[in-house]
Amino acid sequence: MFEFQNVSKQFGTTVALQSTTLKLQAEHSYVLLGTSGCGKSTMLKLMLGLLSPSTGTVLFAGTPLQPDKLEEVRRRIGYVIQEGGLFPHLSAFDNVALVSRYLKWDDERIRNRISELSHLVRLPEDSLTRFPGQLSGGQRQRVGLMRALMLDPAVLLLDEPLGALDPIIRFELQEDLRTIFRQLNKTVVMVTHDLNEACYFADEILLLDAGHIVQRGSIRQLVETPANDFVARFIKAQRSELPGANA
Amino acid sequence: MKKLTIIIALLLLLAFIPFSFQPEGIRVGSKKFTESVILGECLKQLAEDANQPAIHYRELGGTKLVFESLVNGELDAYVEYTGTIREEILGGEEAKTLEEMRELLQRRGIHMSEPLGFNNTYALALKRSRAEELGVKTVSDLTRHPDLVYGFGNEFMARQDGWPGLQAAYGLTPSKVSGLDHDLAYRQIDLGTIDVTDAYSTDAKIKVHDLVLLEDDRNYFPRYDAVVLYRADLAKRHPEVVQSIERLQSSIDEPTMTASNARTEVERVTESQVAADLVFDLFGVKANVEKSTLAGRLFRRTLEHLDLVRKSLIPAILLAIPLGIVAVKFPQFGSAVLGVVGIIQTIPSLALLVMLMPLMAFLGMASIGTGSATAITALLLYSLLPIVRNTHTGLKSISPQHQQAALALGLPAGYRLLNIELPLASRSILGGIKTAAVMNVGFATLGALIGAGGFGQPIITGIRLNDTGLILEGAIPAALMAVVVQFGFDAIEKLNSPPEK
Repeated sequence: MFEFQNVSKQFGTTVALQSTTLKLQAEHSYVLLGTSGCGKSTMLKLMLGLLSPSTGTVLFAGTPLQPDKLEEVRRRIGYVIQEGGLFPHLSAFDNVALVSRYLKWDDERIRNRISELSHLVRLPEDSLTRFPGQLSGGQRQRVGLMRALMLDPAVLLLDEPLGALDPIIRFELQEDLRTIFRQLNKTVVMVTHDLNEACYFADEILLLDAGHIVQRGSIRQLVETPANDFVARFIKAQRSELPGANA
Repeated sequence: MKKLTIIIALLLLLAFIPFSFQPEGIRVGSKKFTESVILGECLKQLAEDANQPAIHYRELGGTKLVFESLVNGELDAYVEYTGTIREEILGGEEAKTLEEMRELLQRRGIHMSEPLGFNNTYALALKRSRAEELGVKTVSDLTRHPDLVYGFGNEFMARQDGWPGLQAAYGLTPSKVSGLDHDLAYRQIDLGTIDVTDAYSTDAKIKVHDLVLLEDDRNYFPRYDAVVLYRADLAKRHPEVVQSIERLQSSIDEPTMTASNARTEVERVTESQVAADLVFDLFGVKANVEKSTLAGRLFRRTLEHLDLVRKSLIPAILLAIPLGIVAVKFPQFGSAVLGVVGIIQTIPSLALLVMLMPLMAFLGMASIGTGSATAITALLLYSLLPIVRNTHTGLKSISPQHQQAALALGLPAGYRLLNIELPLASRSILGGIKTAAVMNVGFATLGALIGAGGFGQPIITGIRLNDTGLILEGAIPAALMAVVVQFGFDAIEKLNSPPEK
């Protein structure tokens, strides 16, 4: 679904992503894992064309991203960020309906689709009349997911979608997200710094450090055959957060 | 999009739907000092005596503004002084005699009447009692009394044709000379702390403070003989009006003019009434003096003021928001735009009005009177800065998170701007509009400088006559209107901001 050919990204003299070549399969779920500033969000933004690469080419569905085709490509990708990235001046419903209105869907089609999505993400329909400021963090995230899914995109990109939530809500949402991903059978790329979350969602994990991918594989591969010292330390550090995990 | 179109259409309708009409008739003008206003009223009443309707645009901003209006055909007549014509209007051209001045004015389509009979120039004044006691009648006589204390207005002290030249011409060597505020000088002369001060020869204060003017026996001061300037075409269109106003020639002497000025400035008789009495005494003309009530005046001025505000503020909003947007999208152009609207803000209002007049004349739009395109354009220009700047700031301060979320949805730029970026910046934009509106209500008092009326009119008159009541008659409603505008926009802001809880 996505392909990076020698893609790198620099901001001034800072290298955010070193030259990277990779392919991501359709209908798989990937997690870009790493500490903050490792380049994982940069990769996501390169996939969306929100950033253009300093070198190399990003391909989506076999075609290089081109400036004049970006809008079309982006409508085939759902993008979810922390707190959902909702627009505060629009009600939850209007946030979700925004793009479909631009595409001139009729009102009934919009209502039906939103009703369907609200069931999928388990959000009571009456809360959709509220504004983002009136919703809880978890509800905002569900609305953000609805907005990303509105056009039934082939791909979902999620940038730390659960980052700002408290643990209980986070847990519930993790469960729901996984169910939804399984149900929809979409290509999913999620960015997180949380190993447990990565284990939970990923068919395959891409672990990044200082702008390059240090290891790619299943969680089992990462644990059993860490590619280098960093991978081993990263895994050990996060496992030791759980009581008794070190024993 | 539809909603936006409707809003813009409604705003334009609100801005341009006419509700006032320009009265027709002979248009006379006056500058903002009492004598000029009284003589303007005389012109109006004499025109009416010739059975022509007439309008008096009183207390206009300055010589340049009034004279240009005459040349442009927005005024038909006003009273000017030969000294001013020589120095300010024909400045740079050689015009020593009345005939030479008449010749030069003629080339610009302006006729000049014969002098009205009084000379309003600088003069030196003493208390009558003091002058008699010393036996001083002429400026030369002062040389015999070097012990007298002189106190002059600051302007007279500084002007080349004031004290420095006078001292040289007469060889005066007083023991003490000080510069002070001119109004204070009269108080000082009453107290006896100064003996000699400068005055205008028809100043009402001469009568109030019982002063005598010393004869300028060496003809040092230039002559400021009052004359009527009128358009050449007035003589063709309405010869009877010209005939009627030319009756003023050689008919008003200095004591008469001084007494008339004093009736307004001291006794608080309206200029219209003073003028009516004057034309009755001189020519037996019975003039119609309109009496106005406070409520009537307030109502009319509110309409005039609102007219200026709506016609300038609404187009300013519709111009400034796109300018702010363009400034964000093209940063280089943006800093130029912000620079220019910032500079406009620093131009004094009278200067801006005078600068805009030729442009408006070129475009065939009215400068003088209600609906003055010049006043409206000036107000529009003054209103741009806060709106352009806040639109720019508002769009600039949209969080990168929201910007990227908007981009990631795959919406085109125009749609993003209207549905996401402008609404997100709307709080800032509204704030700018609110500032502009409140400022506009204040600035709209400049309309009075150009005959457009509004709350500025009583303020100008009040300042001229040192009448606090009259100043408040303009200042209080203007302040109230600003407060109402402020509250109105506060309410709109509340409606506009999305609910939080």
